Amino acid sequence: MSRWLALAPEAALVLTGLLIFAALLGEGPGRTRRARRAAFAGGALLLAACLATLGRNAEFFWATYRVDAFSQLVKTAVALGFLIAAFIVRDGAGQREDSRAEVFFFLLTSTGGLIALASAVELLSLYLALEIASFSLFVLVPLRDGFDLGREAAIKFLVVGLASSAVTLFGLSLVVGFTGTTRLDAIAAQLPALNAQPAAVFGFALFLAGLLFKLAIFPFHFWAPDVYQGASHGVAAFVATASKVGAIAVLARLLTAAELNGAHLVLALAVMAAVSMTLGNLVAIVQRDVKRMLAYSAVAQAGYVAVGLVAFTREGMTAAIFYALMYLLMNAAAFLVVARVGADGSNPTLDDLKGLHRRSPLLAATLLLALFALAGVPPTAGFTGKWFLFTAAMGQGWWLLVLLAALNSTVSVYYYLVAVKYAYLLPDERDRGPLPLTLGDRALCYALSGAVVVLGVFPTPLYDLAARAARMLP
Amino acid sequence: MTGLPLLTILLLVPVTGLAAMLLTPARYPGAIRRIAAFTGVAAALVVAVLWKSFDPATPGFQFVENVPWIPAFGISWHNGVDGINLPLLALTAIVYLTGVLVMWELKERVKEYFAFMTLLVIGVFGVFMTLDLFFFVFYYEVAVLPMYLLIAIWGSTRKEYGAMKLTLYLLVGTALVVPAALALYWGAGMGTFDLTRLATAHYPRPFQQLVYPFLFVGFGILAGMWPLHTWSPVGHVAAPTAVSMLHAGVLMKLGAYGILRVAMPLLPAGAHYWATVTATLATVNIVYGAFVALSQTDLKYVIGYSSVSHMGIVLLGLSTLSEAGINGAVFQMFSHGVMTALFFAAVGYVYDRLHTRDIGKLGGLSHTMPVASAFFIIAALTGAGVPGFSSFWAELLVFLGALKTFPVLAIIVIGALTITLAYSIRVIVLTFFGEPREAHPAVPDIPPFLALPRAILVGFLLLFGFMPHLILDVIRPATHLLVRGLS
Repeated sequence: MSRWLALAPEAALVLTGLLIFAALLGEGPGRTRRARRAAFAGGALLLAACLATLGRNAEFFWATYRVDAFSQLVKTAVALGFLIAAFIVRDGAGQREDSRAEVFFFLLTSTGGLIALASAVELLSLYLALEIASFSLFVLVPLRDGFDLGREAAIKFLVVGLASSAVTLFGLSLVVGFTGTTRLDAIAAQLPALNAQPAAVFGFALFLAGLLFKLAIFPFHFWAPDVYQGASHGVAAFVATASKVGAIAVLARLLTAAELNGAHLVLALAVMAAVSMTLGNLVAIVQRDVKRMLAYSAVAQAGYVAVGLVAFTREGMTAAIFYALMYLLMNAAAFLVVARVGADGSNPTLDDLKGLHRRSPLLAATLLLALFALAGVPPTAGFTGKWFLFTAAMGQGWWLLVLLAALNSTVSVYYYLVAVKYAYLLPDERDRGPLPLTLGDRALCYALSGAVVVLGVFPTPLYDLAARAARMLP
Repeated sequence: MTGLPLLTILLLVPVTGLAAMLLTPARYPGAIRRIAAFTGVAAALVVAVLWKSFDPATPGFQFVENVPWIPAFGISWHNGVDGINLPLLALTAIVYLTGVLVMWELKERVKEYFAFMTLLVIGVFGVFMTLDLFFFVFYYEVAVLPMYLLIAIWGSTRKEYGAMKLTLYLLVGTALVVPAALALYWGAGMGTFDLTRLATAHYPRPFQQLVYPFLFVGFGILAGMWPLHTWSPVGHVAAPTAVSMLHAGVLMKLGAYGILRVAMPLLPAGAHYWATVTATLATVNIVYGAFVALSQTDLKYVIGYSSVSHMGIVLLGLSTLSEAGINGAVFQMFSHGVMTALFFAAVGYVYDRLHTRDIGKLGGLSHTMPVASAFFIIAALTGAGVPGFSSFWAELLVFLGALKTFPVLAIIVIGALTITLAYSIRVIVLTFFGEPREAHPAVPDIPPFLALPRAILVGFLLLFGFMPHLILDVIRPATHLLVRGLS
């Protein structure tokens, strides 16, 4: 019976869903507030359940759903991402008036998909989890208020998303056709024998496409800038944090399964990494909309993660998982600032950042740290995380890729510093007053900034957790 | 020797100071200034204790702290001091303290200024004390980034351009250093980033020859190596006084120190292979910097190019791979650091009061502000290598080392000394003697409180000018050990 306790996070998830659903049944002006409270309470419970089950190992449903150190670490991160995203949503500013409370519900269903994704060790359940995570977001993106780009973003997201789903399914059918099983461990055992079968390798690669789409790595990145820009702040934050962690984690799991089959995939992945970094960073330079800039930066960051993945070693997977967790923190900090600067729900441009150091020194400092972390500058976790990624890749002789990544970090510093310049240097000609921050905002700013610095200087405990998780793969 | 982890304490002093500054509300600038000054004094005291209890006769590192930090990668909290980094730690403390005092009159955004400056100093202290390659790069970048804000916010003359140019150049340097560092890690195959252990790994010769230029160029950019020096004068000119002091005085030394601590001991064969090339580049640095300094009209540009020239002497000393040359290079790092800090502090006062640094508009300053002028003249004389000041000995040693290894280059460089003398005298005569070329409001001479930091710097120049053995005795055993490892 105690075995079932390992499913506590899933139970908390269902409970949270019910709570938010109950809050949505009501009417009147307090509806959003009630839904938010339900999301907070449930989210906190979910996070606690994930943390409590961190050390558990179990398998369920004919061994298609596995609870281990890996899945629980990812679930913890996803739960944290959900909580932060729900916090960033606040009163749902930027969301269509009649759907402000619903944001919380659909964020939760997407969280549910990601949580199932972390535990799925069978291709069909993996696919289903992926689709649940994506479809919830397809619903959320078009619900942007007074912003036509929201609709354009929604269409792009949907079309690209469905196309990649189709590709994924086709890949799935090929893999199943060749191996006769949908179980990951069984497939992993058969893959070496199938090395000579281009169609099988091709099928596996196509199956990966669905995850690469979520990661927004080149050439699957086309939706990202529009969705980041078109979605409301909280939704964009969720896409940028929890959703990314889920994608990276499951990629790590699938690639470990394909470990012995690496040679064919690895070159493709290396090319994607190289192009993604370079393209993302160069295009980010010309952006004026901060969220769009963060989107291109995310494309570049996906490239850095892939640098770790191409190592195809435990170290590489550990580094990727560690970096995903750090990425969640730093991106959450960046989006928190974006959301508070654009508190009316509009997208802040670089000009809106002007004078931020006077309007709110705390937000300016948080932005500074978040951007430095994204740029990979010490003493933040971004530096340490990248160091691990690059070390792993270097160990397998990918020195050109590492050199390119290091140079790319320099390029990225340019646009991050431009944003810092607006926040710290340029005066605010419109002379807007101070930005009001709630106590919770302040606490989250301090918590995220603190975490980014502390984990940058002393990453060992979390790195060990990530290493333990990586040992559980596939 | 004491059992206290003095180096960690030295690092924690500015960290604590930074935390205290951040916790103090910005509406109390006086308190923040005092915290900064107090931090500077405390750091100087810790360094003084280090210097006092440092035993030059003991070879190897002292005050060693070694704690595993990230065991999975063999990264450890490993700090230690030998004769090479002890003078540089002292230099950092001196320049930080005097820098804080020089900026005492700052009005604008005091809290942020001192916070960023202290962050920078944390990075510099860290680089100079760590013996772990991961932390080396870590601190190295910590020191670089606050520069951008310090220059862009509080600077002058094309400050945004200067700040961005400087930051990007230096980060390109680190982009070369990081892959090289990781190659060193994997190449050794020992699973450690510990520099003392990596130094015992015998890398294959082709590997050394391939990786050494990455490190030399990567670090060399920060040391102002020609032709990648152009960020340096522009950055100096744009930066506010104390940042110029820290930047030219300390930060450029990080680059040279990186070559000395990482590149040379780990890749001795690489260092030998590339010695002629690096020595030639260093010579170009010296000659080119001096010539360009001769034609500048902005006082800060003169100093900026003189720094390029003087850092060339450091690089030349390192390239000789001889004891005399490296002794001289380390001494020159210290001496040039103090001298440039004095230079920028002296110009800072002139600029603050007269709002111009254009030689064409100044003149006859020694009549109106004799003390302030004296500071600049002393710095200029030191730069010209006049006996009685510390640079004389440092440069002499480098030339002695170079004459043996690269006689042709050494003769060129000694010839270039006349140009150094020429630009120093040109600036002194045009700026401080004769009649003012433009009318300026009457300004008082430098007040005692602001003269104090400058006087401290002069004191060090004279002290080591007359008693060079005080510092050479510390440096010599360490370089002896280093050079033995190189052959």
